[in-house]
Amino acid sequence: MEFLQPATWREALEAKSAHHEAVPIFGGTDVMVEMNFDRRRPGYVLDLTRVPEIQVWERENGKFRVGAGVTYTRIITDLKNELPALAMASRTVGSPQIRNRGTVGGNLGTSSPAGDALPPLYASDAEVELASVEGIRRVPVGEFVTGPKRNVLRREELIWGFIIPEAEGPQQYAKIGTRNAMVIAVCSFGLALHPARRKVGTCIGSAAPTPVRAKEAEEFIEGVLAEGDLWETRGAISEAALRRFGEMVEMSARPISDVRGTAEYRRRAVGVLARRTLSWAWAEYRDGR
Amino acid sequence: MMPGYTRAELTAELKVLPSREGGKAPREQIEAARQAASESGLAHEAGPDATVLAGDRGEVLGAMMKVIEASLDAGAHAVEVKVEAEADAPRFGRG
Amino acid sequence: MTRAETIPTTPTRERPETPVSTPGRVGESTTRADGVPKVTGEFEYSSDLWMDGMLYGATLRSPHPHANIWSVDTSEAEAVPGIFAVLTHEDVPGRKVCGMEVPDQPVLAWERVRYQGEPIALVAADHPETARRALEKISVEYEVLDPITDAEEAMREDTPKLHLSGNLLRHIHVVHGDVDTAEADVVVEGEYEVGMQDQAFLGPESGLAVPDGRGGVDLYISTQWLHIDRDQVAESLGLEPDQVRLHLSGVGGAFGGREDLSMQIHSCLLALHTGRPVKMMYNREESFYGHVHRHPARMRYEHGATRDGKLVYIKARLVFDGGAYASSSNAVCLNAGTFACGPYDVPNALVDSYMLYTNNPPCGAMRGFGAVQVCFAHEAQMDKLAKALGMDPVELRIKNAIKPGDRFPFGQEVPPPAPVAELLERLKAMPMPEEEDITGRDLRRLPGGVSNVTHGEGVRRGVGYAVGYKNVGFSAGFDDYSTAKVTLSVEGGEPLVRVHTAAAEVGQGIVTLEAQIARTELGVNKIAVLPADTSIDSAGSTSASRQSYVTGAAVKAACEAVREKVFARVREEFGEDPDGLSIEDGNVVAEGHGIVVPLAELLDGEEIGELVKYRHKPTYPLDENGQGDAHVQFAFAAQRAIVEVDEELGLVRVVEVATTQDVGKAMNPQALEGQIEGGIAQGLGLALLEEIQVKEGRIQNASFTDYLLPTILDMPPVKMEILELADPDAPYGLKGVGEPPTIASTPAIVAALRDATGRELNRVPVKPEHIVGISGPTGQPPQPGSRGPAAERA
Repeated sequence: MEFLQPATWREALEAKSAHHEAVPIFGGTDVMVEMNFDRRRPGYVLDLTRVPEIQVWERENGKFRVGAGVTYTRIITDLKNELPALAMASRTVGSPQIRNRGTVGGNLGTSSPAGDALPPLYASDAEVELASVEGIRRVPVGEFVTGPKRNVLRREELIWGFIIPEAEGPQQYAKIGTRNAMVIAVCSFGLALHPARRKVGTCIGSAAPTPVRAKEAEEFIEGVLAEGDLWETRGAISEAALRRFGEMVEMSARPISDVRGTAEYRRRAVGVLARRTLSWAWAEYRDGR
Repeated sequence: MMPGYTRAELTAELKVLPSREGGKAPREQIEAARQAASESGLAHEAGPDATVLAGDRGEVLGAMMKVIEASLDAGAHAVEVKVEAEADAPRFGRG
Repeated sequence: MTRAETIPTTPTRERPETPVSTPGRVGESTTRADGVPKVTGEFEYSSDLWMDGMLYGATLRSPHPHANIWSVDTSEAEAVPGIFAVLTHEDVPGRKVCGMEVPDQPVLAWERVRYQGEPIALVAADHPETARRALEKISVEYEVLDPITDAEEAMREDTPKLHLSGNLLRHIHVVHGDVDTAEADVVVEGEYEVGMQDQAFLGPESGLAVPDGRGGVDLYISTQWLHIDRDQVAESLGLEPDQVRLHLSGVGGAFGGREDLSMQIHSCLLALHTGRPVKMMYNREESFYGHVHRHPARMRYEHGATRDGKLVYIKARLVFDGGAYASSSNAVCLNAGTFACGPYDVPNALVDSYMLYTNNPPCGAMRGFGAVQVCFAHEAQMDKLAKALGMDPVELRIKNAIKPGDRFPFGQEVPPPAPVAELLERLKAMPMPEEEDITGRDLRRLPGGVSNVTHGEGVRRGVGYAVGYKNVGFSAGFDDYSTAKVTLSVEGGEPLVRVHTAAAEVGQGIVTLEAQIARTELGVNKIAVLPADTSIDSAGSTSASRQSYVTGAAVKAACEAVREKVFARVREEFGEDPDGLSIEDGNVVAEGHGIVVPLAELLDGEEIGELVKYRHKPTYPLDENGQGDAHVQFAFAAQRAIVEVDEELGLVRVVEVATTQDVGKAMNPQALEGQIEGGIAQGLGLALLEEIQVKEGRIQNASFTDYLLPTILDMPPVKMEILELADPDAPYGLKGVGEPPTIASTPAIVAALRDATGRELNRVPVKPEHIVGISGPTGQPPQPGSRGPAAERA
């Protein structure tokens, strides 16, 4: 196994171009497990920990460009007010040690339906920035992940990072695990209110082959909010509407049964999380944030 | 010597040496011995062709004879037998 | 609802106060000598062992739960560069089977494999990666057979036999009084199930075997019992016991999972074959296949009582799935049978405890050893009975609590102390914690924690009680003893005591206790506890909560013998009456007139050493009706659990566990707290989290990703009250303490869940699905709020 250690992003892209099969590694919290279990023994490993360009985040026209090498811990400490749902999701990842090394870039690279960082990205219409020696392209995150652990990354490409709008309204993230720490999500839910556009963004995690937006539920609640002029008046959402929202989110889930939980439980739980997170986000909105 | 919580009063280890002429196939000779051993309720496999009987002296000796008979009837020419009375042997203390 | 802070900025726990660290005596919270090295990463565990020129061993394991082996071809593996040995059963020179109780387990399989993970072949290589690759090159031709995966199915006559002796390994039948003629006003029934828990010790199976060049071998190993390992290794290697020397290395926890052999014979085989030291170490996944687990159990109970709450009879039918090989299943079956009724005075009982072979993973010893399973069932029954009678559940238990002079259902008279009623009364009297306001609560004190699933919605509180008990020590006539050698000498002008036993320190603190006892009995501060090995006779197993009692007694007796010799010498040389003498701070002191002579001077360069073999009072086997004085000591513990449950999601937060336990004498109060908290953590794990999921004989979750242990964020604060009522037969009056905390904690937590949710919850670990009400083969949820059936007979 050869270990490539580029010192700049340019060098990294060139290395990937020269060795398509090279596996990029940053925190290693997924890649090392695969290697230790003998599931993956690549001929080349591309160490990105010395590449400074992907370890930064910056503001750009009301959006945040966050490099693939920004760890969960840094997102929690640096961006918890600007990207609240993503920071909440980061807080639920593993343990402090894992958060110090793991990255959203890694979550994107692995593209697991259980990736904790993914639902907030979906709920805020984030984009993934992919790069190669040829140039850059941006793909909406919903199009980036195509199946369980599958994505559209080309063999000569690396993930630079993601672009996500700054939160313009309250956001929430909730994750079900049977234990209070260090659990892979049984199911999860991300929610973002976008008052300027009168939109509600949602995403179900770990209850379908990929993270999936609950489109019908979003349309439903956007309709409720529009009808009652609630964005303006900041009035309450009725219990019945909250319940209906939860039910509609359930309908978008396509969960399976496995060692962590049954399909029926996941479906029901996602509905409960949807109802609760919406009520918390809306309560925050009513308070005038 | 059989370590473990309780030691049986008597143990008998039997190894069937199958013959290739006459009688049943070698595999079947060993199976016949195993079958007889298993009927006694005292037996455990102790190797590819070995069985151990463990229990009270009377029942082990009785079962042993049945196993030997079954083996000879199936055509085996020889049965190796090792009998050990270990109930009072010291354990863990040697060394 | 105010916004909950989803990113907490305050620490989760307060740091504990620094404990007293002076060398301590019996009864003092003495710091462990290995404590700091362990937390700073400097402690050498068996997995850290290293020797120049060592090879790495690896094991080929069966992928099938049940199969015939037609052939094993090792030629390709042998040709791999860097491979020094490939061994099969043909290379086992001595006995080809081993086992804790019944030698039914092949060292390496020959023509049949009976569980997924059963060892078939070994390799030794100069690099662990080479070893792994060579394993892949061993070709085994299997004829895959249908596995027997259900214990009830295994019991049937027409089911194929997995072993020559049949599938029923043991049946314990306990008859007490006459249940058929017993008249009860109220009867409750129930069926309960306990899933397969795992010891999940953090230190993997590991050790180093070093050939001595004269045909023998030294094995550095993590284990619970050096001598039973040594005997099995010697048998299988065809060696004399003194040619096989075992040395205890750093053990990372055990909880019963290291009583059976894992790599002991294997590594020695490879070492003797290659003539080089061989290290073997399992990774986490292999570890799950490499040791036994807790027996899953299905239990059917019937309790009958009078209108005013006196137990009239208990009927129990217990079926245990022992898996592929016997391990210590015989003793677990006996334990469960004898403890099935709980610590209650019941005039009539009929208990049948069945232990079956199946093709499921083999099961054996785990902390609690049969008592855990039945306690879950009998405590659920007592709560059902209380409800049917309209009685307070604790009052019902106190009313029926067993006491000295009563007879257990297995006939033995209850020895003092047996303060069951007092434990329950004190537990009930412990104040409840203040109920914290839900609104604005820190997320970490809500079900789900920082996963942010509730800000108080759906949260309901519940309280539950349970009491359990178990024996201490080995039972039913087993010759249970320990050996200690104590030597008093002078080193650097100061008296020094060396204590040598073979007691396995697995993290519970016996090494610290041995030093505490020596200090107390010999009045000398400087104590060296020598490494445990087989150069001294056996100390018995580190299990059954027995080491403090039996090895403690041996050390105490050896110290006393040394002390007697010291006083005899003083009388000789100084004419002092031994009765008035004592040793303090390294000086011999006479009552009334102070220091007679410093020890260093008295010894004058000589050593005084004594070797003692200590046996506790004898126990007796059970007869065909399950009657006999089978156990040597009983320890009791009662627990109260407070939980908060998110009813819509089925997630649980344990708020507090309070416990009362009778310990005889708190030998090291801080270590005692550690044992109690650790036991409660394991009980909590069984109640809510821990299960080896097995489907068709295959483990589905052989990893800590999905075999979930409680973390610090799952463990509640523990309030404890200790009763020190001396056992007259035990050294210092002490009782074993390791297992009782894990026995009653599971039923107490589930009782609290039932209180909060109204669900029947007959199975542990309880899953969110069960709390929410999604269960049953059709997926149809039972009605929310339904209680279980409680048959009432007028």
